[in-house]
Amino acid sequence: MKLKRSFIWLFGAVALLAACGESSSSEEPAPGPDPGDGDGGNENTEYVAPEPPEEVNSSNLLQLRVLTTLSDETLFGNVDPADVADWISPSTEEVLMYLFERADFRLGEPLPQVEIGLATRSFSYFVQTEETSDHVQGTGIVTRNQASEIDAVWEGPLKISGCTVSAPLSQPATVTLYTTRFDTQEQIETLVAGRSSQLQTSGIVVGSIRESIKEEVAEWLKYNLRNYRIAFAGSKSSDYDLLVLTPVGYVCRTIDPGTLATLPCYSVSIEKL
Amino acid sequence: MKRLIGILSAFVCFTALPQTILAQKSLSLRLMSINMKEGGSYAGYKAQPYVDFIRQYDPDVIVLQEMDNFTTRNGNKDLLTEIASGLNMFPYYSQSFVYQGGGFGVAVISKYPYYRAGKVISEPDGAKEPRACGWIYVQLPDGNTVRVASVHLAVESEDLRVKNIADYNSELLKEPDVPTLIAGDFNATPESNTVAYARINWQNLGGTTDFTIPSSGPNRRLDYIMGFPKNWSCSLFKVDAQPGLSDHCCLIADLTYESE
Repeated sequence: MKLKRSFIWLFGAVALLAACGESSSSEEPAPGPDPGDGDGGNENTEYVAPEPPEEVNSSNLLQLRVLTTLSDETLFGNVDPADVADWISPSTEEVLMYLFERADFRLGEPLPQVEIGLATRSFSYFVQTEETSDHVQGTGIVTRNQASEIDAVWEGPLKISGCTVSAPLSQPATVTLYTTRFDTQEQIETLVAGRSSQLQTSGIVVGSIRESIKEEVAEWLKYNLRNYRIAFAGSKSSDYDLLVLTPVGYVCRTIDPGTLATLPCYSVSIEKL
Repeated sequence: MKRLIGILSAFVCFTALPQTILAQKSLSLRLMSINMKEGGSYAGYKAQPYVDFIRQYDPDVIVLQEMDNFTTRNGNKDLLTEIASGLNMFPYYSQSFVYQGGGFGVAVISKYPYYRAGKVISEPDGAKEPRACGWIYVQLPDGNTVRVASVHLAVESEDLRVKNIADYNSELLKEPDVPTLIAGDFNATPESNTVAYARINWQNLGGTTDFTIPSSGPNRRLDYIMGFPKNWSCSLFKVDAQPGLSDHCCLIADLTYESE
């Protein structure tokens, strides 16, 4: 282990020396994420996604339901997950995934997404946004589509996971639906550094972002990610906004606020173009 | 410039990504392995007998084999989630193939959330059916990360089982710094080529003398818990015969990983 640590420091020193040497003799733009395919372009130029078609192809819509208070409160409180399950059972077929933000885990206590998954004959997953302890904040996921993989980025301030599922569209598409809660821009930067390629092709982020940083983040993304689209929903009075970040080959068509059982619920539709 | 980007990217990846793993010193957990025998047939496809049995051992992670998911024979239900619900734990299902209108495969249940998961399906030439190996990554409360995989190797031949293991190794050994456990029904005795091949990379935990099948009177061993890298120790290894639950005995082990 000591040898590995020494190697890391040595490697870091070499990399930094190389960086200093090159930056002083080069006038190229600062390194950014791989632009991937698509329109590419200089990383220092502002990226603007092309306008999507006006007409919506209803057979290519991913339907999501995001239950969230967009606050620092736990979601379920006094609400029984069984009541929520009763409400979502009839419409489960058309909804690809239900997200229950702040369906927090408490060791030894019933897990809301597991109970709802059981009642609705669905698979359940949980995206933790904190280190493991007896009580962990996170997002419960319920979906009829079994995840072939759970991808994750756990680096620095970021803890995000995503379910890779085959979306039942007119042309079935494999997408990874990531979710987490973003409190700092550094988390977004870490995500882009770690999953730039996915965010431009098959990775969709549906989560929440602290309202006070969303404009900075949107601005930062313009110059540090290509081939993407972003949408927000919320209000000035809420602590957080809903965030939908898709590759340019997808577009968030609607984010409709409503309720499910007695919980606040956003109906999100994302079209694969 | 591209070279610089490459160097910096490699540096960032190498330093940031595995940092929590590299920092690990030791971790401990209790693992159980249960072969469900045709999706839970011995218990009438009821969850409660498994819940009651598992609960008395209070494991951190349970790996299950022969797990049905919404099959005709199990009454078209999700027995895995029923068991997980009864234990207030997190289920992860890995389907090997479509079966009786639903699925058949392996599964993992964890006391703590898993933040990452995956599977490999192995179907070598000559195999009668595909075989999934499914795994989860769990951060334990002490901050250490462990990966736990459930496995059920081919029944047909040694050659196929070795190929199964080779297929799983191709994924599981990619991350040599992640303490990993693979457990389940190897369909192979301790002196077999299968177990010998597995032990090239994996550390057999719990010895080889305890018989695990049949549960009504065990006379041979087919079930194992193995660890990677080979820095594991086992302070408890128990084989519990439960003829009301399965034809295989269940394995219970207290395991500790110490980094070098």
